[in-house]
Amino acid sequence: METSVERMKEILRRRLIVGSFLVSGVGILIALQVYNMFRPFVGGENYADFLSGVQLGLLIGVDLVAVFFLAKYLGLLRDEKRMRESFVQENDERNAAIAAKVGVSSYGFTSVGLVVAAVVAGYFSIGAFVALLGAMVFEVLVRLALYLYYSRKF
Amino acid sequence: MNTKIRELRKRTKLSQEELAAAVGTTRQTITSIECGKYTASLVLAYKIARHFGLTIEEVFDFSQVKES
Repeated sequence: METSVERMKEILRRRLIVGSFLVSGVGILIALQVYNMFRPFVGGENYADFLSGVQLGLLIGVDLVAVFFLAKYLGLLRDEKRMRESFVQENDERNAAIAAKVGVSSYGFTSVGLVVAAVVAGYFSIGAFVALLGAMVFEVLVRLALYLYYSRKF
Repeated sequence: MNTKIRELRKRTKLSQEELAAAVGTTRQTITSIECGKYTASLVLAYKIARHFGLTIEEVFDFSQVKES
């Protein structure tokens, strides 16, 4: 479906609002993490510095990606030609077909990978085993929910 | 699926980029359609055919489509 310029701008503005909330929220989490505000709640001495560092890195990564997209969307709002090109790229049917194929194909690989990882992890750590099992169950539930949703939609 | 898009583009001196912009898709999609790697949707096929002032059957070759 053709998207009018006004509709494109509306979509971009909504993304900017959501993105701003995300950046702010994650920023607060980063600040809490830096000042070790979570330590009293997460096992105290057992909370390894390495783990804390990885979590901080992930949060900073999410924030940087969100800031990048906010800057991109702001730029697109100012340039109508680039905005149209961006929307054509996003909604291109071939790109959508590729994404759909990737989604379907990768499900098998990730499911088998999770099962193998859970089995192997089970020999070393029950925590890791339960976490991987939980991830597998979550993946199945999400797939089922999406299947039901799209079956009704189409 | 074979198409006459490349032929029609050369006749009308249209680049892939220009055709893509005219029908609201990307240059990569036009390339894939011309190479027969990707089959256009009905809507896109209609837009391409309409751009050249032809019918879908005149642009896209359905002779290899097997009847069930």
